[in-house]
Amino acid sequence: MVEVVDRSCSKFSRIKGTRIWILVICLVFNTLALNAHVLDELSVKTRLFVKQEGIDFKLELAPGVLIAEPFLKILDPRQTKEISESGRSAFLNHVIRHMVVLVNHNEVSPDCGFTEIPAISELITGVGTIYLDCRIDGPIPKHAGYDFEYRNSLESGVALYSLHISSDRENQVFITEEERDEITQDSIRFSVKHGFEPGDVGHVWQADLLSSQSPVSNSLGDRISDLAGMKSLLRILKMDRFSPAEMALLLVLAAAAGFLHAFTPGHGKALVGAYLVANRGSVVQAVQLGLIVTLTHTASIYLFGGLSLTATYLFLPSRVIPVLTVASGLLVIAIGLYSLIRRGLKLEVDHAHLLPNFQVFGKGNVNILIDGNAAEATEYFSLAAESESVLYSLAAAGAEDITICSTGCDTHHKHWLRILDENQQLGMLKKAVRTGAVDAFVSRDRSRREKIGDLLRKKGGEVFQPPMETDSAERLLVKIVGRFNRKRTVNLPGNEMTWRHLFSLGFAGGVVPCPDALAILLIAVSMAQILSGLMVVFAFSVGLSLALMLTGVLVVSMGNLTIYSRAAGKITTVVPYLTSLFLTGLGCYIVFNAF
Amino acid sequence: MEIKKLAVCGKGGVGKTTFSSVLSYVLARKGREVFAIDADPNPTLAEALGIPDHILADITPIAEMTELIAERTGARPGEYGSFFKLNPRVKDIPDRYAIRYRDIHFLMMGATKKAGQGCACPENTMIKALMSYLIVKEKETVVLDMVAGTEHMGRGTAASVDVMLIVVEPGTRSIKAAKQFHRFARDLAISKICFVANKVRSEKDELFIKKQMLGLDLVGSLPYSDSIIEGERGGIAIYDSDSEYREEVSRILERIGVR
Repeated sequence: MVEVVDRSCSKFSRIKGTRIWILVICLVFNTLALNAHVLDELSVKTRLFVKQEGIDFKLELAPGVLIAEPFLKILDPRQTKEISESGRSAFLNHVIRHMVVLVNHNEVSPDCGFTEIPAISELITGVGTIYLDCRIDGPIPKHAGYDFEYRNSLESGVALYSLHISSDRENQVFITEEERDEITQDSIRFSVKHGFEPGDVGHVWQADLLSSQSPVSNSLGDRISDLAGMKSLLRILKMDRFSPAEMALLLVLAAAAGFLHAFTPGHGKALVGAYLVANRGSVVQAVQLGLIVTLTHTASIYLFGGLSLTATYLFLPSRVIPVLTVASGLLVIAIGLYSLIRRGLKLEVDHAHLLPNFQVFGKGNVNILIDGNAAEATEYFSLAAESESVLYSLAAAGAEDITICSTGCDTHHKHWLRILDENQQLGMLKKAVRTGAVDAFVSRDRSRREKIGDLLRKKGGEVFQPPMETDSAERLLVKIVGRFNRKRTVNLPGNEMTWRHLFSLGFAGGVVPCPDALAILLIAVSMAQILSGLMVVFAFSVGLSLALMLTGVLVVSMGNLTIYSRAAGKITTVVPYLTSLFLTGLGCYIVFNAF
Repeated sequence: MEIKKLAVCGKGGVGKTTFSSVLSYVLARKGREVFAIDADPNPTLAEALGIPDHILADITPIAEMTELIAERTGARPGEYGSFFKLNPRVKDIPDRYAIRYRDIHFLMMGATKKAGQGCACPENTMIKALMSYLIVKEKETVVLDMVAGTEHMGRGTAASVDVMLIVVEPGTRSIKAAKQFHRFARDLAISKICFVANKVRSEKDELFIKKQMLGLDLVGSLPYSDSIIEGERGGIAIYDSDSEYREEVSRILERIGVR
């Protein structure tokens, strides 16, 4: 999955550099295919054994949890959760239909039968493997050489094929002129010779070497899943009952697996990252977001795990997950568009002021907000603030100090997104006023005084024109201090992210159950280890959530670096727009990849 | 009224730092506690005062005291666009951060990057507040070595400057710049504005300046001195390297009313 690339900053310390490398590593994992879950794939393994009498096939079909449904429809068309005879023969026909076998360029039909077929519950959970034995012995010229060709196109959209061939060399059966598609491994052509000349042994070896090589079947997602211990967990769960120590170890392993597994694509890291970047979230919010995703995710697995095990096919994971994915994608699109539109309409004040630093206002202080265009007044106020009359009135009002505040610099207005500035500056001033901490707003600009005035008066403050010399500043200060009310309600927010925002995104990020975790639960249940399964899934989710929190904290801590650089400040101006767009795009991607 | 707040300005290279350093020592010799403030973006006053390299190496300009600025203004230097306090507490800074060398208290303000007039970034706010405090509230004598006098000073502060000394050299560009500074200083309502001629090599130079400064308050002519250049190379305080220069600075002080 694509992750949001954060902003750059010119002066990174070594520690900050390390953090970036950690994130880069995470990004490398995430830039690979979105749906690379091993359980989203069908593994089709063909073993060919060339004998004197003919050619034997062994087929292993291992459908992942999301791929099992087409097979189930054939094997159990009446949805009785039992495999019927008619289902078996229909399935064999289905498999044979997708195989092409040519002997000396003439098509022949293989004779196939089941060696092993798993229970429906195993297929549902994506851990069952179907074994088939096939044979061709009809028209083969048994004592002469012949050309052979084999192709398989079963579920070609989702299947990963592998081919293994070997020959009965003890009885002088050799394979030559082998050609196969090394990438897809879905077709092979070779010649069979009997009693081959010893001088060409090297050639024979080459054919055998090729056949003994591992097929190119393991995707990166598969390998990471292995790394994350998914398969080990599945195997452990198939064991008998656990002792408390084994259970504890299993839970730790599950948490570690969840943690590593989160770094495989498709676990909401991009969502968490993008959202925190767009909204300049804090570390605490990164943690909260991680927690919400975990809780939603665990609940979602429990719910759909439970529903999957009911008698009905309605809640097959392969049906439910795409629907949930679409719903989640739509929710992400909605969030992305919502924030994009709000930013477009300038309702969202982010610009460079994403960390408004309202803490500068002290609750016990007389806080004066001064407009950038009244810079000279600051000096008069500062000088007057130490005059005896002002100090006396401060003491009388019970105020601790006078804080004169401004939003910043005039150089501000020179950059290329100036058009946004006026509204955003005003929005920023209004936000400050809404905290209830502002006692006075001083501006030379009449329209600004009017725009701020009503709101400020509701909060008990007042607007003023800037003083023109120190004496008038002193009188004005005495007046402002005189109005100070120590008991006023002050609410100094850390920043702008609300629980509503956090929850909606955390929910979208967690509502789609991770198929692997779902499979763990389903297997545990099928092994009558319900409690173990629930606990393992929870531990797995905790590990997963830790990884999300880590991503969030990295994104946030790197985001915070940029506010210390003025040049980076300009970048922060556009980042929220880009990340909103990214969220929208990501939502579309999720929806289109749901099926 | 006792003259205590002296601002020295002039075009770059005219010798305002040399003059400021000698001015500080002459005032200190009179028994005053002197704060010599380097508010030039290219600070060299410490060298002119003869402060040794090992002491110089430990001096951090106020504008670069990130933690101090963050503590007092609530925002870090260079931080872009958040709210911060425009009236930071600076009362303790002269005593806490000034380097004491040979009866002089030395403070280096440092340069604020890309700071224009009216810029309210945290570091500039800090320097403005400190300058304002030093000029308006400080009880001891303050000598300010600055470029133009307007960058860190508004009318409220400028009103407390007792004298602004604009340094000129015998050159048209320097005189043109000096007249511009004079206009700025007048706009700021500084009560006493004087001119000091520097690098005067001959009577011809002196006459040229007097002619150009007609009607303006020219309070002295400082000689062009090889010994100053040599002394500077040797790291000696300019005050110690040229007695003629030193005596002329004393006379300038008498002429402007410093006793």
